[in-house]
Amino acid sequence: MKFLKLLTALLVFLSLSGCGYNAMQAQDEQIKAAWAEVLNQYQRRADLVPNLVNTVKGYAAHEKEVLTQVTEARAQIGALKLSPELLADPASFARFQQAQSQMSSALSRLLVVSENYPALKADGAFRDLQAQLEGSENRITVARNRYIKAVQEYNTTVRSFPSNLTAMAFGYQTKPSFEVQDEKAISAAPRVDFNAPAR
Amino acid sequence: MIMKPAANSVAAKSAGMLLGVFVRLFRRLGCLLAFALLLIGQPAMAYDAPSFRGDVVDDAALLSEAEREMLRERIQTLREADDIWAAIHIVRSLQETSIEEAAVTTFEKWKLGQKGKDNGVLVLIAPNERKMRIEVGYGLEGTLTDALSKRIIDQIYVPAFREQRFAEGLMQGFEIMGQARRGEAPLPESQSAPVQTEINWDGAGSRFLWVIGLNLVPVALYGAAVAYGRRRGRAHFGDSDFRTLLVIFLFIGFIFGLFQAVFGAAFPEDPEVGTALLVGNGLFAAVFGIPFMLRAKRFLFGFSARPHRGSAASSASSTSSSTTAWESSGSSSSSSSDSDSSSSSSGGGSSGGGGSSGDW
Repeated sequence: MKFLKLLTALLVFLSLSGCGYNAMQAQDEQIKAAWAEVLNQYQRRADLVPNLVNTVKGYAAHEKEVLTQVTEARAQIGALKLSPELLADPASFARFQQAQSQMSSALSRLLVVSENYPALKADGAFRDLQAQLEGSENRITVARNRYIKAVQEYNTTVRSFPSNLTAMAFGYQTKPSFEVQDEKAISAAPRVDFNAPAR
Repeated sequence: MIMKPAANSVAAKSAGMLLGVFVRLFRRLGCLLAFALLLIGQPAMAYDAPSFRGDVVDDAALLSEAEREMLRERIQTLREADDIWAAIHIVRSLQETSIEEAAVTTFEKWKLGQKGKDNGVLVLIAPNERKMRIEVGYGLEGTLTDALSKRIIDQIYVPAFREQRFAEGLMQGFEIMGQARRGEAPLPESQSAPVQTEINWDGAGSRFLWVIGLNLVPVALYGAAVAYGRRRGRAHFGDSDFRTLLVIFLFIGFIFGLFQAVFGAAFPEDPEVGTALLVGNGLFAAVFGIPFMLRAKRFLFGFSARPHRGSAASSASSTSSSTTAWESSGSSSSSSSDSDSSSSSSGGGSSGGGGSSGDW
């Protein structure tokens, strides 16, 4: 009897580890780590904003519109809870993504505007901030890619046979991944307006 | 493709698993093979990084063998003295990917640096695309910050690479990485602002002389007209007139030359400034030049009611060319502005490299 119990326990163990349970755990952890990195990099970018805004203000204070956009985007991100639980709720995940992409576009507009101010562009602090911002954007891209890859791996495990049976038994679901935010905006060719004044 | 029959056995064995019989066998083969299939099915990375073949991988044959050896030795001392595990990759082509993605992919594949310390650095150079990137491992991000990497690129790599001094630039870059690692503060920020904080006067003098020279062109033409008229006996008061014109145009040229020199140096990136000044110069020249132009006409053609039919006709051919020369020179101060403004903007000579992250 005891031997039989042991055997079933062994069988359960083997079949669980064989059918993706352990793999799912490992991949889930991978996703968590990747997500933490994504949040970390977004946070890093958000931390650059106050400094950046102040520096630009020193040279181009009358570019109010862009500066306000950036500040507002920053405030919006500050209001979000940047926690790993964000992943569990698709609605807040979508909100997070939207806020971040708003931030991206506001920042890129700020950099475009700053092109008009040679003195600003030559400022050492601004150049450093610009380099940091570039680095941040690049790191965000890398972190997002790694997150996407981790999620892809996990979702593949959850959905493919036979590990999907394990997933079903334990109630694991596929996780949300990043997607292109506003496909319309991306597919539309940028409009160049030569009539608008340069500054 | 080879896995296909295995997939069949997956199905068979999984049926066995459902019966709860070949659990162990299933574990060994089924799941593993299924996973292998899934992994193989995934799309390959867009950028195909080469395998690691030493600290200096020069696929574009940019460096000489001696330079490669020198860099290898430098990298080794950097590794031993400053604990930076660097590598150089010079690619033949970026394969349509961004330099950032290529750098990350290569770094991932080469796994530079020690495990846990993540103290690797990859210098990726794409001579074809004229791009470069310093990819820094996690462990070095505190010392080799983005800002410092950017400064290394802007202040060392870009100027050196522009002059084809690749090995030299790379050596200097490693030197600075080592300094940063030792806690010295290399490449101070103030240095990173080229030109702008103090005005670059290079070319200001030549711009000044250019403008004066341009303003003397109408004077010279008027002088020629006077001389021509005097030979024909038409010039009675030409000399003093010529001197007045000379003084006026020297004055205009002096003022606008000063403007051009000062503003051209102050706004080296704005060719509009130079153009606007030239247009203003042309207007002044036209206003002061018109009375003299009318007088010059008299020297050239004689007084309108003169029965000098033959000589007027003979001179007409030569004068028409000289009047067009005059007119064109009168307008040339504004129309030739293209060439002059381009020289005033190019007179600055130094550009910040456009500020983008590592082109040369």
